[in-house]
Amino acid sequence: MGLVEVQRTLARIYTDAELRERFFGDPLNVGREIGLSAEESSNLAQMSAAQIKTFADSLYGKRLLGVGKLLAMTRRTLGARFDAHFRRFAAAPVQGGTPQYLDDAMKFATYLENSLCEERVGSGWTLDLLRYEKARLKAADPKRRVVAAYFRHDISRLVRSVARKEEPPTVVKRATVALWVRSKPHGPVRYSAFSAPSLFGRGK
Amino acid sequence: MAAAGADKVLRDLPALGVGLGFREPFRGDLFMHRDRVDFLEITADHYLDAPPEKLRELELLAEHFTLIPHALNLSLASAEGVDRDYLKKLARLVRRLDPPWWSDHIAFTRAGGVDIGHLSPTVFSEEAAQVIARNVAAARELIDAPLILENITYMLTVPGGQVSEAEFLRAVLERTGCGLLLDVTNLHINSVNHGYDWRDFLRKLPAERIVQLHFVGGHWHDGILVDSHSHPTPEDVWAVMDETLRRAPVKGVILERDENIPPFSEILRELDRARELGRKHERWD
Amino acid sequence: MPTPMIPHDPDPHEIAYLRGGENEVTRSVIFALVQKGLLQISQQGKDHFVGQVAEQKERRSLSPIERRTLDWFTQPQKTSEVFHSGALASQLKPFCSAYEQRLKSEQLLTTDEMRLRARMVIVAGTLAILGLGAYKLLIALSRGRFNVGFLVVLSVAGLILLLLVCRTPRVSRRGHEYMERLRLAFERLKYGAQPSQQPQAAGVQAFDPSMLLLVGVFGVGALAGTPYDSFQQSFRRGAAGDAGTGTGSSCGSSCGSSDSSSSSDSSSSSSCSSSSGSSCSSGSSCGGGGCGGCGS
Repeated sequence: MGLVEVQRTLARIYTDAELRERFFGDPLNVGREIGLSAEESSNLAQMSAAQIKTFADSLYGKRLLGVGKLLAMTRRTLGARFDAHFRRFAAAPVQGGTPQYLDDAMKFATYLENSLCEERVGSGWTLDLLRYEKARLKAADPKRRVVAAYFRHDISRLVRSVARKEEPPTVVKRATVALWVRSKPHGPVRYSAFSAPSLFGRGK
Repeated sequence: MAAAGADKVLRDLPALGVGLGFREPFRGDLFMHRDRVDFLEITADHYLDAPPEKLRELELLAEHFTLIPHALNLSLASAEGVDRDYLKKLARLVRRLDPPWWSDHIAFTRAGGVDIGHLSPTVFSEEAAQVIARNVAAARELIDAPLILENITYMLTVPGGQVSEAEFLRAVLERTGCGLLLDVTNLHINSVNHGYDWRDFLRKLPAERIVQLHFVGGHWHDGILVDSHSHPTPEDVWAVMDETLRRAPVKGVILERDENIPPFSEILRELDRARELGRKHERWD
Repeated sequence: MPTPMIPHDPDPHEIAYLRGGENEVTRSVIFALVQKGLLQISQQGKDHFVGQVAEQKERRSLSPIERRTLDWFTQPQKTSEVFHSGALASQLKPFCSAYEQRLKSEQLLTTDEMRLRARMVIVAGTLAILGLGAYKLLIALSRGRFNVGFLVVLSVAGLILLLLVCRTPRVSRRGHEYMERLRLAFERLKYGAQPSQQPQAAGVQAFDPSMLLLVGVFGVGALAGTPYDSFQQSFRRGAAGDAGTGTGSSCGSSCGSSDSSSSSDSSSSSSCSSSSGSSCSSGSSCGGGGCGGCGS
């Protein structure tokens, strides 16, 4: 079996749980489906399904770790609920294998925002924290010039408080608009937050 | 590259000493303790399409430390060849930093349009060694600095192998003329998970090609030792490092702590211990 | 001249002097003494006082400037009076002069030569603008043209522009670049500081040089939310006066740069900024075992 075919098949088996399960359940037929000869299918079927699953699980673990770092405050606030939501989100197959962290985090943030809105559990400030982190991810794109986001809470104080792991965090209900602005593509970002009724200071 | 020529290039590389895989949380402590960190290894991928903030950080680091770029995604074992766009960006970064060497892994990370998202083992065969040699040659067209290749941990053995891992590494180094970035933690982990003697493995490697080491601690999970970069270096790994430094003219070692980051004083203690080991074997001052 | 490297052993008090002069050094030194358990902040009503701790610890580790400052606090002083009276400032003047001299020799502060050069340019430029303006005015008047308003406006604008361009701020451009470098290098120290505890506990914390450096580089505002929160409240300047006091700065403009909290969270901005985040952004040599767990 050529190395190209081996690697292509392995890449698919590692990243597609459904294909993996079907392949080890019926290697010859599923192998034929994905363009393998009978001999090639039997060779690959000799690999330990358990070991491949362990490896595949580690890919999931890396995704969770990567996304968790990009949505660090939300993850810390939600705890196990964050992981549970991500498990459901990651169950859906992804075209092209493991997504890049930033794309993964953005999509998961949208998914999580919708889920939390549906659940309507807990205070709205968790949602604001998530929206903040999502907006900040958008603003990290060097080609984006402006990102604006609205919050029901004083987001600057909330973020500072959560970042410092204050218990409980400082939650002030005050309509706030935050802006991330690049004066030119690939330029530095300036962040400002404006809360009603008084304007808050500019930050960087 | 002829073996004798490759050996000379690697022999003439500067001895850098003991360093740290740079992670952003370390930045402040790093500059407070600059005299206790000899050099840094940076993850090349973090600086390839980086925003201005990361590039300023890179500039700051480059002005104060020797930086070794460590790439993740060249996928040198990929039978389909390397990603030329990624290679060009990497080449620009390496040119900018002008390091004594740079590194990537003996692994593939993508195939057939699928990004695996992780370093995956290749089959230990002559064909795979040739593939790596071809890809290294492609990298050399754009990057002059010497390349060293890192061994990875692996949970599964790809069918079709003809030789052992140690023999495969030897073959890869001979065909490519590259140096070896021996991750002693990975060596220990593989020896535990696959039941072989790491001393035996070390004996089979061309010692003169071992340029740099990685070290750190992992953790146990479901009876498997995991390369999680999350714990202090265990005594078993120190033993592997000691023996490697005894046998090989290693130029530098890097502590790769990524997770569960402890107070920086703990990091420095590990670096100090590695430094003493290297001095004991006269690898650096 | 290239921007200076960050020294192996940065002096927080000197950095404070570069950043904001004598008052910032005063804050920095007092903070050092509070951290070392030799001074304490107390409150009576609305007033904050600084005074020596009753049980004085050994002073051998104190620098000369710290020793001089400690000696000055024979009686508790109102924090507002520390700066207004000028008495402590005069005690610290020799040390500040030494900082000034060294910083000027590195051209981090505007030197007298720079000011002289700037003044000469201003004088020459003024003479040129006024001379040309006067010449044009005379020509216009001699030809019976009295619509010289635009000429006057242009001359005034030119003079203003000249003054702006030839400004000589206290900190030179090189000094600003150096401060930027220090901020970039030590920004992460802000997130090592833990949430606020009892103010009294601050005096008995083990001395942490990173906190002192934080104050030196960023000012007392950076202590907000730390065990030394009361110190920053007692010594807080107006927001406009402190460069990078830390207000709002923890709300990151770039991904994860300010909000990734403590050192127990690995860098998120590193993953964020990478376009190819597919392999380990941490744990580069992760093999089949997986970085950070097996995903169960």
